[in-house]
Amino acid sequence: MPVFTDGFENNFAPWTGIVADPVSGTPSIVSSPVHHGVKAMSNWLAAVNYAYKTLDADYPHLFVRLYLQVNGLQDAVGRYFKVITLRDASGAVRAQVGLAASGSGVYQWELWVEGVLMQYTDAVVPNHWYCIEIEFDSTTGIHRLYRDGELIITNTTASTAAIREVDVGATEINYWYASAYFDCVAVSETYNGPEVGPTLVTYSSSPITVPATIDGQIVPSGGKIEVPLNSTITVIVPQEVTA
Amino acid sequence: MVKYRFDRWEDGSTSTTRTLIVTGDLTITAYYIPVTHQVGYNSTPIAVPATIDGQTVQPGQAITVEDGQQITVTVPESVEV
Repeated sequence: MPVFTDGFENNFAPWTGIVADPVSGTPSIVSSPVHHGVKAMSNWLAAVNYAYKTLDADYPHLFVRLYLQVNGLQDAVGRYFKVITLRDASGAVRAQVGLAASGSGVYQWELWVEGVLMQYTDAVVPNHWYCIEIEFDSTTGIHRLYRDGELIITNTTASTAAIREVDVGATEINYWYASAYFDCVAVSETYNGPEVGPTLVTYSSSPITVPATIDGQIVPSGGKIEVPLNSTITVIVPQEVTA
Repeated sequence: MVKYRFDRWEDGSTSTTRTLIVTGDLTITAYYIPVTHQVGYNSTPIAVPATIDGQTVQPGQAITVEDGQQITVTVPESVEV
């Protein structure tokens, strides 16, 4: 069941609020880069600044997916930033997802649960969208982190918490000095996975213009329609026309 | 007005209904060709060639014309055999 989805197309309106640093960090809306749609959130990674959503209930089992891109990497050991923080109804931090540098161009995705850290070393590159999804599950005590649909971390720290608030952005920081971009946030009780599609089907006819019917929708010659990736479509054209 | 009939898709398939699994952006193209007719010519009791749209056609021959195309057929007023 979807709990909350947003791609910042209506700026921060769907969110409960934002947290901004008075000097060097305020979440902002940008038109580039975007993963999908025409807007994304940008956060300068030098101070805590993020958008937060208070959920309609407490969720002991919750999935939070987002797309993340950074325009710069830090080599210095100990530099990190966290991009997802999950809090219970009291505001206590229960789980976090972040990226850390350990020097010489080595980076780790991090999954913190109840303060216990598990890491996964990855060849992270700047200016690339990563699909990051955390699964927090206090009913089983098995918490997972997925990168681009691949399970990369399992954290089996016990927790009795239920999640009430989702924070997205620079939720914790140790001076990264780059911009991070966030898009296509999906909060659900089931695995979201990477976005699929839509993809573009372009139809044309030659040497005359004849419309086609694609899944019941009339498409003129030269027209385009969006369909879900990996979907099956049926295209029908007339046997005879007069032109 | 000219009548056209469906000939093929860009992949060579020839059914007007096509089912595809979309695994990425794609472009599909339907190709049409004009509908044509055969016009046969004969003369009797003697073999007299005709001119159809400037083309000489012998008795027993046929030419192909597009649907809706207007043609002009000319035969000689008199012949000697």
